Amino acid sequence: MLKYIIKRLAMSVLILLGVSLIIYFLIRLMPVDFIQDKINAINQGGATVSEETVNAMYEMYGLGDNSFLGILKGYFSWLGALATFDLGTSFVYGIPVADVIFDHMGISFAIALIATIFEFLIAIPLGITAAKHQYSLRDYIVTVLVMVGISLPSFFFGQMLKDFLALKLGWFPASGLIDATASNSGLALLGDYAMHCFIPILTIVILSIGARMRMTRTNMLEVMNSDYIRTARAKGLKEKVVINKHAFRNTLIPMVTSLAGLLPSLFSGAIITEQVFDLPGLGNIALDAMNRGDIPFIMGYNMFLALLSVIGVLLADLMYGIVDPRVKLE
Amino acid sequence: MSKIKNANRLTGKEVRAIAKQNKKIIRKLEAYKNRKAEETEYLGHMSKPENILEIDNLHTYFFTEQGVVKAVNGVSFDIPKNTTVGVVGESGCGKSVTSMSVMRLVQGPTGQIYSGSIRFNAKLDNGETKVYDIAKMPMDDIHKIRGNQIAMIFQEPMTSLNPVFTIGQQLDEVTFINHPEATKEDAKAKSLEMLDLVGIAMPERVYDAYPHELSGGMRQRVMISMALASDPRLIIADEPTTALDVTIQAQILDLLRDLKTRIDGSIMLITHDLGIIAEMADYVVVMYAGRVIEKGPVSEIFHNPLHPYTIGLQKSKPTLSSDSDTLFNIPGNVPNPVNMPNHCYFKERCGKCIGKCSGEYPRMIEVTPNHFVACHLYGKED
Repeated sequence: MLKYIIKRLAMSVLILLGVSLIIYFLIRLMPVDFIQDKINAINQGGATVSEETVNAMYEMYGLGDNSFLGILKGYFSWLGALATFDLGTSFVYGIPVADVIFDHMGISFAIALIATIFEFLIAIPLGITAAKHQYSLRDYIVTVLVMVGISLPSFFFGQMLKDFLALKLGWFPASGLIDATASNSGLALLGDYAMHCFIPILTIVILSIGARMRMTRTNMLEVMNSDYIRTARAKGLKEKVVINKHAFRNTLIPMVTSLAGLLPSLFSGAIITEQVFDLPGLGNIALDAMNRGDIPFIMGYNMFLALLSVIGVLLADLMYGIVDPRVKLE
Repeated sequence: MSKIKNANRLTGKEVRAIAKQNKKIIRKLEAYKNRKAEETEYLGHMSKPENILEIDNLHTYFFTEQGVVKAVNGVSFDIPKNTTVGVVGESGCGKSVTSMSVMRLVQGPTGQIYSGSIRFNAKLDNGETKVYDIAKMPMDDIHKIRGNQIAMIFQEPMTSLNPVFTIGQQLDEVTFINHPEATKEDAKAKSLEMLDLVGIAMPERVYDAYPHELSGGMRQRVMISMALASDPRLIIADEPTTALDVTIQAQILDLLRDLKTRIDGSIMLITHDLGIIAEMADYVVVMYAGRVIEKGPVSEIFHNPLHPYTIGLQKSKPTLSSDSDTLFNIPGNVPNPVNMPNHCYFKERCGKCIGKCSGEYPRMIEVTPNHFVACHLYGKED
């Protein structure tokens, strides 16, 4: 088992190298120019910047040479810094990228974790009932509702919820993370966070239930038609035990694969939802960095997600070995 | 351009009409299945006290999109105590659905017991006997007979065990269902005893194994031990040897024969293999297209088959003594199950048709004691 994990981790390093190379080249080819934007801003302020200063700035940020070799050189200098666990300094914030990520990760993680927990708590029982009463009225109602949920885009649905719950009814604050007019602390501060996060979490939960519910339903139906479920019934087990023990244990197997995608999404932040509710989460920051050409941050952020993805897949494989005795890891 | 009229293709209108009708009937039958009922509602009387199971005019239908498939269409036969009753017939004749009906395992909502009764003489733990009509039992009460009174062995040992639980966990469960007060050690002891009984060499090791680690024959033994663990009065074996190779088949059959004396109960053996019937059964029920066409003691059926279909079945069995190059086969196919004709279902394939065969479906006639046949050839002139 240990040998398997080490082997997989060694392979992960190679994958990450490939990922970083691709991302770096893509970013360098992106039509945003941090320096140009900065100079434009200075020019608008009335001052002029000399050609030499501009060139010096490009050199300083390591963006001077846009030829293939220049980009390759830039990549290796980034990689060299990474080898000493240095993700570089963010262009926009002027502080180390790792610090920017960790500063904004908390809020994204909290929202994603709570949303995911609710998503599972609601979607799995719904999927099981829908499967148990296939083609019944209950199945149709659940299916239609979650399909509506899947189909709504988050920028639209989030905005609608915000408009209704926050602006019309005034039950919740419309945006931001804290109430700037009050100076709360301790439990009151936590309550303030909760109030601000309620609508974003609600949005994410409603939009994500659908996929997981459909998955649970499909898996459950497949398992319910299998021979061993018939055997379990023939033994004289109560229907509840048949479903909750014999069938559910088997639907867990495909569900574990989907956990692989869950780990990065817990940390990545919900880019659009955070945008709609103006939350200072990682997703919001990342989108901003993308617009402004903050190369070190984009690299750091994407590598962070790539690392989480690789770990997620490894964890999913390990989990497979636990939930399915037919799988042997070696 | 002319439209090709296909008799098997339904128009949209017809499909909708069928769906509407099916929905109505299914809803009624499902409600009946899921109702709460007092025990007195489904208590009955055996017509002969020596029987353990009496299937009486059973109809099990599948309400499909193409129409109603009458998989079991008025089947009646008895299983006396301490006997093996073999049910034979070709694929799709309704023999498996009959056994599933007895276990109430017919897959709803499409599959439903439409009418008829399945009377079972149950012996309760306190020694009392009660006659339950299984067809009328609500699903909530089915655990009174399923598993503990009637156990079933399925034809697919490879897929009939749950892949994520060990053999031990799945066997122990049976003991816990019947004796909720049993401890973990009791259950294990019982499971090991059962594994030993079915001839598994290393019960301890198999107990901790997962199904995928065992061969097909081993799994079928485990299935049999699972059926035995609850001391049932009736074991239904649905083609227990079909998926196994010949040497394992012989071993499993020996085991089953041994069982009958051990549990002092009856076996309902479903198969399409006449050789197995000859070897195992005391009584034989021959089914064709959802109906029983002939039934009687095994020696009668083999030495004096009456129905042309039974005779054809006998002839199509390969024998070593024959020097023919080709096997005999009954010409034609089983009629379309959706639209069964009103006359004898075998008429189109039968070589001995008489004028009466175009008339209504033949009744069961007792030709010699206990030997019944549904064929106009043997009808009294009236």
